[in-house]
Amino acid sequence: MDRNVAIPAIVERRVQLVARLRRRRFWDMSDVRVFATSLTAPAQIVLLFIIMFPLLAEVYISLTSWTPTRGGDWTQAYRFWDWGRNYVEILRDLAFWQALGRTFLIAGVAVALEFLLGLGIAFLFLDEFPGKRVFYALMLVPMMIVPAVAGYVFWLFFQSNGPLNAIISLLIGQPFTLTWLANDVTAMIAVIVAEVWEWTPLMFLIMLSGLVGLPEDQMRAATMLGATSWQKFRYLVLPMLKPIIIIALVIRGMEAVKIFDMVYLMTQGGPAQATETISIYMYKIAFQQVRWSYAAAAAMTILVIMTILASYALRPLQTPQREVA
Amino acid sequence: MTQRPTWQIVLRYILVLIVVGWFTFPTYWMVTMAFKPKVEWSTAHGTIYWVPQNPTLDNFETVLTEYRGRFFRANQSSALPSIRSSIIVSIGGTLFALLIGTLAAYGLSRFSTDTGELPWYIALGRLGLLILVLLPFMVLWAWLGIIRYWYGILSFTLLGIAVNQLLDKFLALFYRGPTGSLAFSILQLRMFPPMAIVIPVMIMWSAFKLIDTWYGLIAVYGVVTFPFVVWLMKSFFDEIPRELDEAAIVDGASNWGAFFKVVLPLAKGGLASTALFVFILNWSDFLIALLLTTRDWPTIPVFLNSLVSSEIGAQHGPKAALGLLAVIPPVVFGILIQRYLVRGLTFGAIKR
Repeated sequence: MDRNVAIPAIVERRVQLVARLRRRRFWDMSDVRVFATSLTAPAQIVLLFIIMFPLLAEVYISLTSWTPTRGGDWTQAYRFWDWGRNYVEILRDLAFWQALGRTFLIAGVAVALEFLLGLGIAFLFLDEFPGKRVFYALMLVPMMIVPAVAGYVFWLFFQSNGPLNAIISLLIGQPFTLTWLANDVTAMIAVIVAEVWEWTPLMFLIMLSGLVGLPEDQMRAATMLGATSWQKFRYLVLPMLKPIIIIALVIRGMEAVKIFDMVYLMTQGGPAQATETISIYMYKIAFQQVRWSYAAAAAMTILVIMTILASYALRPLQTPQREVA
Repeated sequence: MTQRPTWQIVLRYILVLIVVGWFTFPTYWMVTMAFKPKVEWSTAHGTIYWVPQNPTLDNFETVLTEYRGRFFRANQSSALPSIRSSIIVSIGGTLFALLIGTLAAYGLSRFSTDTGELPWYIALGRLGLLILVLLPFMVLWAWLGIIRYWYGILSFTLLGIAVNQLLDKFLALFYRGPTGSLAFSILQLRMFPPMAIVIPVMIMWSAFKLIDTWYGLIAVYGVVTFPFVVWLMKSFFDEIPRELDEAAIVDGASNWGAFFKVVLPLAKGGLASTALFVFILNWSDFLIALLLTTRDWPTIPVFLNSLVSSEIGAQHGPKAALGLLAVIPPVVFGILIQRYLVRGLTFGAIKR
């Protein structure tokens, strides 16, 4: 306020009075700060409500050796207090680290394949051709199929008397009966194939929208200057698509790490532990071996690892690409 | 575009056919299996029927006939209860997620500098402090024996929220950057395998008697999917110029009025596609429903998994029929919101 202007005392008192009256209303929606807080408050509260208790309960259980089969309910867990022996055990538990490694292996291979396939198929769909709309719609169907249903269909698919073996038999001209899901390596391949099948369409959609949005005049200029297709791809298309590619990889990677439905329905993590991902591992510990405190400790370890990964992985998402394409 | 040589066009067609063939074959297999009679879908005879020889609707009849007996409800093959359950729970979860998510998205879009950036050591350190302070209380509550009841959990959660706020104030004395970020926590929530928090959620839900109820599932679905709503709607709100809300306020609208009468109607298309998108997510869930339902409210995926009859093993025909029914809503909705699918699945980071 400009202090040099003399304000009549009576007016000033009036203004102060009005201000005080206004301030009295705590829940004043015309105050922007109150309004802004009340917009985000429900989300904050719901988030805290859903996280606060489970988090602490999880830490509490993980520091004991309580499980439902040891008697008493979980509130009595302090009787089995053992100062985090579970965590020491986790650090030495080969199965846990193997499951973690396997999860990243499946996610890595699947996402890489999805990306390469998605980009390749996007190039096929770049120009107009008759029937494009139909093929395009058909390409999108897998990602909308409920994963539980897809897992079931792929389980059928990979049976020893299933359609896949029948197709291979037709191709090589002699009976082919491989029990895909009963062999370590082929079970892994089967899981990855199912995952790639379900999510390549997403990569395809993202890549296609990126390719369509590339500036055409630059491409034309490159063609005029005599660039080969490979050069155009390597020095023009790839750098311009880079932000989109990174986002697509991050998103898919972060979803692929959570993989559960497909593996659970196809192999249950088997044969033995050959396809056991981290979610399946925790499921088995908690609900088949019923070692809840150990599962809780494993969950806390995952939580720490994922928080560290998240803060790096999510960075590309936080500065949204405004119409990169 | 220059005209391509014929061999390229032919080659492209062949490639497209191979690719599309591979990506549609599993779907084709399920669809045809749904119409096959038992002789054709059972694998016992070792013959593969590529095309149904005697198409029939028997499988749908098995799945859609209401079971009238009072006992053995778990063994019945009627999917009607699970279909009802899926519909109620998915719609409810979607509405809940939209309600809290849209408000938060508007808040984050207009009034917040929160970009969702938080270094992991701050996030973890703060979490560690919170746990350190609250763990003794947890043990105390447990020792008193009240944490098993709803009032124990409620009072503990309120205490936790208070401690959380105090911790924020306390940390602000030493550290000038943001110590917490709503946007980051929301994104982070999406990254955890749900399996990691499901044990304590089960404990909490059984204390509140929410296991195997529709409202219990709706609450979990709402929380699990609202991150998508927040980021997606935020990207839609960001596209609406701020000047519009300001103009509305200058013209005498209240803050809420500007939001409901000006901004929200402009984001109507975005809201609708977000709703359909979140519906698809809820509808597809398997893990949460598997762990939080038992007898009364299994959703379609859970029911599908349990559809095994004692005499003939897995009932592939009825399973495929139910699978086909389960796939219809997401496919229809997915094609409706084709334009926004990428945007939804990338948290609004890619706008086309």
